[in-house]
Amino acid sequence: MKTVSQTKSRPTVSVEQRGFTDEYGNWVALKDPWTAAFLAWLLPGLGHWYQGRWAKAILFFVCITGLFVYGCYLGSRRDLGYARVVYASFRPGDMRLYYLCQVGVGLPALPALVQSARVRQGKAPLWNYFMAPPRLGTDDGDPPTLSRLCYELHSYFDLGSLYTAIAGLLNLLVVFDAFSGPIFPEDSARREEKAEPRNESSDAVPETTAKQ
Amino acid sequence: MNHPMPCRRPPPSNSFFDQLFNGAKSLAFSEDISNPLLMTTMATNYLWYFIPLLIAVSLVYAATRQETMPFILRHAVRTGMWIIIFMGIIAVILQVLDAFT
Repeated sequence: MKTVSQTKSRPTVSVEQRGFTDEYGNWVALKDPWTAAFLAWLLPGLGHWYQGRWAKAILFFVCITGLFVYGCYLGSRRDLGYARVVYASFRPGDMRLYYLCQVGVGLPALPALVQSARVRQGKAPLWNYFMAPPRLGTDDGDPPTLSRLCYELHSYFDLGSLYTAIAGLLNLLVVFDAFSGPIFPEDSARREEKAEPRNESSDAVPETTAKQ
Repeated sequence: MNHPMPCRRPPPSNSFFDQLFNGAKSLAFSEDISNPLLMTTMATNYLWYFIPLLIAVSLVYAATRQETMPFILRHAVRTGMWIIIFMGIIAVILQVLDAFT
C-alpha cells in the first residue's frame, strides 16, 4: 500500500485514506492531495477534475477563468495590445504587485513571465504585446508606457487589474479545497447530529460517574 | 530611455471587429467627464461591474465550504445577500458622512 510517509515533508497518512464525507454521507477521496493542489493551481478546476469532483471542477473553471478572461478583456485594446493588465514587472518605478495575486490563477497568467523575461533580455515581446510589461520612460510613441495605458484604457485598467487579481486570489481558496476538502466539513457532521436525536441515557452516564 | 522593441503597432482600423471590441466599452464610459450629471451616471454604471464579481465570489466561496451543488447554491445565495447588505450599509454610512461634511 502506497503511503505518503515515505517522503519526509508529507504527513504520515495513507493516500487512500485521505478524504471526507460530503453532506449526503458519501465518501469523497482526495487521491494525492499534493498533485491535486498543483493541478488546481495550474488551471482552475483541474485539481477537482483529477479527484473526480466534476461539478465543482466545472464551477471553479467557469467562475475563475471567466473572471480572469473578462478582466483581460477589459484591459485590452487592439492598438495597445491584449491583456495589458496582466504583466510581471518588478523594476524600479513599476512594481506590479498585482501580479503576485494574478499568478494565483496559474497557467493563464504565466505568459506574463515569458514576456517579462524577453523584455529583460532586450527582445521584442510576442503576440502583439499580450501580457507584456509597459515601456518605462517618457511617453513618446510605441510601445505604450504605463501612464498611456492608464490614460487610454480609462478605468478599465483598474477594473481589469481588480478582476484578474481577485480571480487569482479565489483560485488560492480552490487550491486549499483540492488539498484538504471543504474548509468546514464538520458542518455536515453537526447537521447529522441535529437530525438524529442523541441517546440521553448514554450521555448521562459520565455525569453521574463524575458526581460520584 | 529608448525601448529595444521595434514599433509593431497596427494601423488604425474601423473593421467590424474593432467596433465590436471597443464599442461595448464606450457605451459605459464617455470621454467627456466635465458634466457632473454625466459623472453620476458613470458612477452608477460602475455598479454593473459588481455583478459578475458578486456571482463569482459567492459561488467560489460557497463551493470551498460545501461539497454538493444544492448546498453550494444555497450557501452562495446567503453569501451574496450578505455581501450586498454589507456593502449597502457601507454605502449608507458614506452617504450620511458625505451629507454632514
